[in-house]
Formats: sequence, structure tokens, C-alpha cells
Amino acid sequence: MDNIIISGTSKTPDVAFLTSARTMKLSGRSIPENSIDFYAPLIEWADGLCNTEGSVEVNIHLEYFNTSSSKCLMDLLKRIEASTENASINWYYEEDDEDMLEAGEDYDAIIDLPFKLIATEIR
Amino acid sequence: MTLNSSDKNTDNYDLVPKDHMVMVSYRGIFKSVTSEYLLNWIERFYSRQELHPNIKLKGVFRVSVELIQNLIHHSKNSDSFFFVSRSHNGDTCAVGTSNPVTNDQAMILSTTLTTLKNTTQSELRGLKMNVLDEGVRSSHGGGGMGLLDLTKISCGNIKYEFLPWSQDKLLFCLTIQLHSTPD
Repeated sequence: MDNIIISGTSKTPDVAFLTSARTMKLSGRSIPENSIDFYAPLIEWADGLCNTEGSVEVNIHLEYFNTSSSKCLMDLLKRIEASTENASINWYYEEDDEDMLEAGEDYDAIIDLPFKLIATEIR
Repeated sequence: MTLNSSDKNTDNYDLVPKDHMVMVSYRGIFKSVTSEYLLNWIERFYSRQELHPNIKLKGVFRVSVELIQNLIHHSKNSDSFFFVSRSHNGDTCAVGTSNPVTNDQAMILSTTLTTLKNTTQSELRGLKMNVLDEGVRSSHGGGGMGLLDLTKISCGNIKYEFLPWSQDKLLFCLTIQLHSTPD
């Protein structure tokens, strides 16, 4: 499997999905008008990685995301949950961002994988 | 409001709350590039607006994103309108849109918004989780969460009305208010 590395834009996040490190990172903002187009290949890649031996770490460090991205993030996490029990999720939020903390709590309540909510300093 | 069904003399600025001044507005067809321009503008000029510290750029930005993308997905009409305004004392920010809709669309929107406005914050959160967990999605990825999210972000400070527009359409006007002290 090849790595997926995509630089962020004003509407899409930085993506670093690394095969050998077995990590997936999304950072920046995710507000594309058609989030399915953006996330579908990432979900397929995650499915492929999670069906190979070894643990997987997911790092989500988003500043903003729109509602259609929130559904795609859920699809990504559900696909990982369905493919492996050996995955963990780190959800980063700026310490004053209650909305992003609440969003992380909601995903944590739905996804049955180890889930850490990690406060970061305000940028 | 000067709008009527015969000549469409709409003054979109009548949608702006009376004690507010406009920060940004746009009328026309909404496309991806329009969205990019408007959102960049909001980010660049927000810091100059001396809004109450409780009205955060993230909140204004999130509301703007959802409203603009609603217009991109659901309105191809050149009379679509978007604005961001602020009260003179800086303790309230309003983000609003208007666009023509069919009578059937108006019925659906009215029912949905009436229900959401009568739903508590904790119930809204539960609904959102339910849509996230089990809801279906449209072809562009949304799952009917936009209005739900807007109601939640604004703590229910969401106003809407349907004004006469043409023989077969009404003008759907939606305003989201962000207050320094949410109810």
C-alpha cells in the first residue's frame, strides 16, 4: 500500500496516512462541498490497512469541519472499528473549543475503540 | 420589506436585524469559488470587528459554511442572498440567507425548523448523534444535519420566514443569531 499524503487547502485537511507507521492523521479544516469525493479513497485505504496485521493509530486534529465531513469521519471510524480491534483514536481539540470537544465525545460514545480526547493550546 | 409577487422588489438588506451593520453580503448564484471568497473575507475581517469575545470566529465561520453550502447544494437561483452582520455594540452577530423555494420545500423546511426550535440543547445533541450514527446521506455527503447543527450552534436563536416571491415559489429567509450570552 502506498502512503497517502495530501497538503491541506482552504477547504480540505492535511492528510498523512502512512503505511509503515500504521498511522492516519487528519489536520486543519474539512469543509469541502462534496465530502464523499474527498473521503471515499481515505476510507478505502483505511480498510486496507486495518485488514493487515498490527495496531493502528488515528490522529484527528481538525480546526473546523462541516456537517457532511462529520458523516464521512464517522464512516472512516466505523470502517476502522469494523476491520480491527487493534486501533486507537486520538482526538485533538483546542482547550477553549467546546464544540470540538463535544464532537469528540459524541464520536467516542458511538465508536467502540480506545478514544483519547486531548486538549491542545490555543493557536 | 418591499418584496411582492409581481415585481420582486426585494430589498435583501431588510433581512438584516435593524440594529445591525453588515460585515459582508453577496447576492447571486453560489458556487464553490463564491464560498471560498466569502469565507476568506469573513476570516480576514473578523478580527477588525471588535465583537464580544464570546462570539468566536469559529462559530461565525461554522454557521457561514453551513448556510453557504446549503445554497450551493439547494439553490441555483441568482437571487440567492447571504449576509453577516453585527450589532453596533458587538454583542450579537447574525448570519442569514434568502433563496426562492417551492411550496413543497417550504412545507418541509417549516416543519423541520419548527420541530428543531422546540427541541432542547441536550435533545439536539442526541438527535445529532443519532443522525451521525444511523442517518442516511445525500449524494454530496450531507445527512440532513445542517439545520440541526445551526439550531444547536445558535442555541435555538434561529429565525425564518417565507415571503411571497412568484406564482410557484416563496422566498425562504433564514437568520442565525450568535449572542454573547446564549439563552
